[in-house]
Amino acid sequence: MESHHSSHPQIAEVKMDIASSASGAAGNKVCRGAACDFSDSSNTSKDAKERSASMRKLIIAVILCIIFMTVEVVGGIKANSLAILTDAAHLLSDVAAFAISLFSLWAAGWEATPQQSYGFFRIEILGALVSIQLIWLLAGILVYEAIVRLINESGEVQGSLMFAVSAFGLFVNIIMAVMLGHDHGHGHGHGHGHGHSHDHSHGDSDDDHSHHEEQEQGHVHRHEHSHGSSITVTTVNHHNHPSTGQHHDVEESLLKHEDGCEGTQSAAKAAKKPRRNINVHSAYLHVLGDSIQSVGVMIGGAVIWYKPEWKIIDLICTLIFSVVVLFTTIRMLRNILEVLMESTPREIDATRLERGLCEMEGVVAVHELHIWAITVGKVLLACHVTIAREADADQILDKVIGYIKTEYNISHVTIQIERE
Amino acid sequence: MDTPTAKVAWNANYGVVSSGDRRLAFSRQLSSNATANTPRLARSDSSITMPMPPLYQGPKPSRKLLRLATASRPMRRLALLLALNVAYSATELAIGLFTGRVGLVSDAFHLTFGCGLLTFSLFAMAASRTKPDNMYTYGYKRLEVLAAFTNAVFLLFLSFSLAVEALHAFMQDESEHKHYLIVSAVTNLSVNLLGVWFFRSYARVNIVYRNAEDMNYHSVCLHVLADSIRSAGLILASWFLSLGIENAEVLCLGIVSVAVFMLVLPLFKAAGNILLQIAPGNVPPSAFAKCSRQITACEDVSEVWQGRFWELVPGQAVGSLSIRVKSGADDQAVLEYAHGLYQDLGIQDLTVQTDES
Repeated sequence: MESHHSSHPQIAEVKMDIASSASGAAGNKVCRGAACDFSDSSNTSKDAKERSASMRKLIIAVILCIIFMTVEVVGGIKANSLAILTDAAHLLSDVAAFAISLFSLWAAGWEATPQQSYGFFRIEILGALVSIQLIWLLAGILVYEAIVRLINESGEVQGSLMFAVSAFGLFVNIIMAVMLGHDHGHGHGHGHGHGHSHDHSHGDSDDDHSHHEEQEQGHVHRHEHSHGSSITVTTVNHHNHPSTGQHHDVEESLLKHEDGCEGTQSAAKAAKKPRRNINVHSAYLHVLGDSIQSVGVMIGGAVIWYKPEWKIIDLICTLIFSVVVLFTTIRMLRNILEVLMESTPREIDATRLERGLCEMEGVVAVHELHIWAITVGKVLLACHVTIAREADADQILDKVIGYIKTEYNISHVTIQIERE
Repeated sequence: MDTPTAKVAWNANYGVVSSGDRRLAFSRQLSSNATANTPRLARSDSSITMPMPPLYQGPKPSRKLLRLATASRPMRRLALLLALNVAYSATELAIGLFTGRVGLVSDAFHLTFGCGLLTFSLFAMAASRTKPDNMYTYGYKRLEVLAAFTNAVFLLFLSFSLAVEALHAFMQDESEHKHYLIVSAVTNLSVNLLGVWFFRSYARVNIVYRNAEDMNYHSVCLHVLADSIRSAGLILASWFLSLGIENAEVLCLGIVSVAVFMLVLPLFKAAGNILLQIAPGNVPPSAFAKCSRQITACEDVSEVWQGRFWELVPGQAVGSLSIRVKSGADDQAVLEYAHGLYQDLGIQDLTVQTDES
């Protein structure tokens, strides 16, 4: 594998020939770069931007957390109260969750190696999984603490202190939740947005060549499909470059001219349906879970404060709120599990795809169709297509790849053509 | 996927599979002679069949869970272990609640988490037999790797928490070691040693994983092993304390924490690597390079690129490759040749895209 990795640092020249003969339906059937859209350094500019924005948010959150934690620790030691120290420990767990997310974000940007031919994007998913397991662990610990509080008949639990401390914790968590969930377009839990791949941002220099680039077709779309050489109208596009006519370029990527347009670009990015990075989302879930539990502890503290005999209410409250927290994580956990099990992403209808492929002329059958995702946005497809004996393999290959790219936005496609 | 003839697979355990004897686990895997006669481009049983695609039905194991849970010997053993653990932790929790002893309650919680994990492992063992379907085109075998990974992560959490406990004991500087915990520790130890005995062939740190179940069984074994080490540590600590050795608790907890960490790390790395789509471990990278060189050496081929290989579960590798063929050449022959080469490496699921230049 090393041999052909090293022989393809520049793929541009290969593209030239194909461009002229291709039907234009798909542009290239080959991907740019030896490791294509997954780890080509030029395309990670969009990825890197998203990643560094997320990292910035998380770093700010970590710093805030640490500040609040030191405040609580100092206060707890001064007041000699176990409750405050326990809350400081919860904030520490927040820091741990953020640290995991930060690490995953950073590690996901590593370059692919021959051993890891798809790059390290999966690390995001694994980091999110570990984060969620941490949330579950903490919910269990909280229930345990509530039980301990119940058992400690010594009555040293002061409701007022509990209430105050958890109110402070709630306040901190809300600040962080607001910060992390900043571009909260509509509803959370959409780790997988559109299922299109964001990885085709090509470096500025490449755009000057007049060859087909793999543009992200329908990248800001809802239902627009670009077929052949038509020009896609994007729903949010702050610069519609008029020069596309002669290129057959189907759509100008919003990131085409990254050099100049940082501002509009980020505005455009915010304007379209924001796909929150899965690690930021899991950190957000963590903080959300903490706030929910703080509310529970507040209620319990208030009850104990008011009527110290009703201690059992504290436990019941904690149990209920822990269950609520676990429910908030279920959706993300399901997404993570689906990616890790290499299942077909939900937004892609495999049967429709297969039917569409079979309806093409020349195609006799399709089998061994596998569609799976590396991480929530990046989808791959592999299948075997049996064609009629006299059909033109190359042309059918083009059509198939074009169809898949335009209809389903799966750019990383491997098709094995077999003849009957 | 598996062609029907490939189901008569070469038995990695050389026929001593039922005893789980893994003394031969380090022997080299032969090239898959058993599959030499299968047609290379066999139209395998695709899970997505036309023209009437099967309705997507979620995994069925929940319906026949009980029957499946006792389907194979390791599963029966695990089910037994799980039942013992659940019973034990329930009694411990009840006693702790009634008598108001915090130590027992915390121990019960530790055990409950462990039970949850073992349940997930058992579920993974049962569910992984489900046939591939529309949504899960590669089948459910990955669940076992996931269960192994989850086990490993929680064991790492356990080792951290033990380290925190050691620190706590160090700072507290008083042995609030409760002696009634000894009874519970001894019982815990015996239950876990029983579990280790059940899975004794997996009781090692580094194992060569031949198939998906290996990872799962290994993780279960490590789980019970770690628990037994922890119980042994507690017993030892209280014995030392009764002997009057200072800081015995800190020492023992620290040693146990480090031991569990070192125990679990290889499994964590291996399971994590599979989930990260690492290249198949049993194939050296030079073999891939050699294969691609051999293909490029064909007259009809101009270049080979984008070879990507990953392991679905240990023992089953999937790959995709792109070949540029000179125009006019017979691409089917090149296809067959490429498939043959990679099958010798053990990669059965390969998709090769041939472009004409």
